[in-house]
Amino acid sequence: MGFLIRAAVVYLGLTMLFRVAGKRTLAQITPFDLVLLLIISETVQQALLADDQSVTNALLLVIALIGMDILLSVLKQRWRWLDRVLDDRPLVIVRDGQPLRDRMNQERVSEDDVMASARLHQGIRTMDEIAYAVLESDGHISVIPRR
Amino acid sequence: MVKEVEMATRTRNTPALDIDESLPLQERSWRIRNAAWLAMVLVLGAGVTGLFGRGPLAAAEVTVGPGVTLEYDRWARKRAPLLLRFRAATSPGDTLRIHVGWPLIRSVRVLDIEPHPEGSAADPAGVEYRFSLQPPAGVDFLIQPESAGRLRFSIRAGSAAPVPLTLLIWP
Repeated sequence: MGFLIRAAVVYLGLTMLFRVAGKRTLAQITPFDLVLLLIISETVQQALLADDQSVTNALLLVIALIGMDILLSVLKQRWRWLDRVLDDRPLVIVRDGQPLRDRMNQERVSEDDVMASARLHQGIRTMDEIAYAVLESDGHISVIPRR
Repeated sequence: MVKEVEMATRTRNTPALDIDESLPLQERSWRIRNAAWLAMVLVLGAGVTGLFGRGPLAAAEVTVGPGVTLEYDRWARKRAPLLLRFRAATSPGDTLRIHVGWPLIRSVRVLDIEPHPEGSAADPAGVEYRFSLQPPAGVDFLIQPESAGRLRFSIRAGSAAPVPLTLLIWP
């Protein structure tokens, strides 16, 4: 029973922490973000395993974590509000070539981030060529060019 | 009602885009996020100051017998080492007797006792350890709580009355 409680506490704790960290936190993983993820996994490892380092305990924990992930995805599909609460929603950050700065500031997105995505995915050269830029719920920026 | 507000916002903001955008809910999400950031700062502050053990706020000292004090952390963590440090004003060759109640002994793992006791004896209330000390005298019990929660026990030195103590063990 202890392993299930530890897995649930760690899973829910990490879910909430990454949710409040914002959309952009790990959207584009830099080498440092990767190191940070490894450090976080090392940090919670001890608390998860406690003093039981057996293969049985490890398998039970992995099954519990994956099971919780499946359960949460089923619940999010059934109750849309839960999906919105946990995964956030898309947000328009550029409209008709005009950056919506309040929204961008709240989400820590710069015009450079938008233009980088515009160049990469659409070959767009200037902000004026953008009809909409949308910060998706997973933190990526979608750019729709003007026609 | 909420759905109507959402739809109205959705239509007004981005008529050309079929996305599930809602500015009122987004703003509420930002407010909750800012409150969560503040809470994270407060938790870190509590950690630094010792609310979860190992900090100045956790440090406590109590007299457990004539000339004998105990320094300890009133807040500690499960499976983390916790030091109980006894300081005694003794003369060369004096014997210090420390009696520890069963609730503590049964709830922790004793990692080390320094110096090693010359002897110990169990009774219905706990275990009495005997030490032969040279000044400046002190005895360190390094223990490790094995369960979380409130831990009530008593300690006494020599023939003094037992001193009730309470530790809060964080998970």
